[in-house]
Amino acid sequence: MGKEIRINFKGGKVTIETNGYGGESCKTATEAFERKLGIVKHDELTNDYHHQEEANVQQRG
Amino acid sequence: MSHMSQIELRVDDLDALESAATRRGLRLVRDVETFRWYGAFMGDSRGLIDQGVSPEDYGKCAHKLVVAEGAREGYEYEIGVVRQDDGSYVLRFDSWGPGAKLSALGGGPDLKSLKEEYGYAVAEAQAYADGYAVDRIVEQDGSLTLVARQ
Repeated sequence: MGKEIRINFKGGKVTIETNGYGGESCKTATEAFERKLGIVKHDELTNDYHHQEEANVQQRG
Repeated sequence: MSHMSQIELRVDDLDALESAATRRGLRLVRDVETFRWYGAFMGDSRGLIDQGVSPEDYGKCAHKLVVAEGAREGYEYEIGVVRQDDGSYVLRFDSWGPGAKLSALGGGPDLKSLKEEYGYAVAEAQAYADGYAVDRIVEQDGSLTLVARQ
C-alpha cells in the first residue's frame, strides 16, 4: 500500500489524515504541512500508528 | 452604511493567496496603498475599532484582491490585504452594499471558500516541493481535500 496524506480544508478548519505511515513516521511526514499551515496540533492516533508500534515492539523483543 | 470586516485568516504566502484568489475569480494586485470600500466610517457599527484599528486606516492596505477582468459589474468594492506587525497579512473588506456580492464570491461573510483555497494552495506548494503527486477533491459538503501520494 502506498503512502498518502489527506488534508481537508473546511472553512477555517484543517484536518490531516495519513494512511500507510507507521509509528512516528506519520508525524514526520505531516510536520512540514502543519508548519506551513500554522496548525496547532491535536493528534488522534490511527490504527496504522499502533500497528507499527506493536510491530516494533515485537522486533525488539 | 459601512461595515469593515477583518477575516480570520493569517496569510504568510502571497503566491498561495494569488493562486487561491484566481480560483475564486479574484486577482491579487500587489503593492498598492488603498482598496475600494464605502470610503467613510458612518459610526453605524463597531467595525474594527474593538480590534484597535482606527477608521482612518480602514481603506489602507499593502496589496488588494479585485474581481477579475470581465466580471466587474456590481463589484465596486475590493478586499484589502493588510500587513501586520509580524510581517503576515490579514484580509479586510466592507461587507455592506456592494460588499455583499464580494463576500458571496469568497464564500460568505467570512470568505470561507477563499480561506479553503488559500490553505489548499499552501499545502499544494509544500506537497510539490516534497515530491508528492497531488489530487484535488471537492467534497460533497463543498470542502476541499488535497491528497498527497508518494
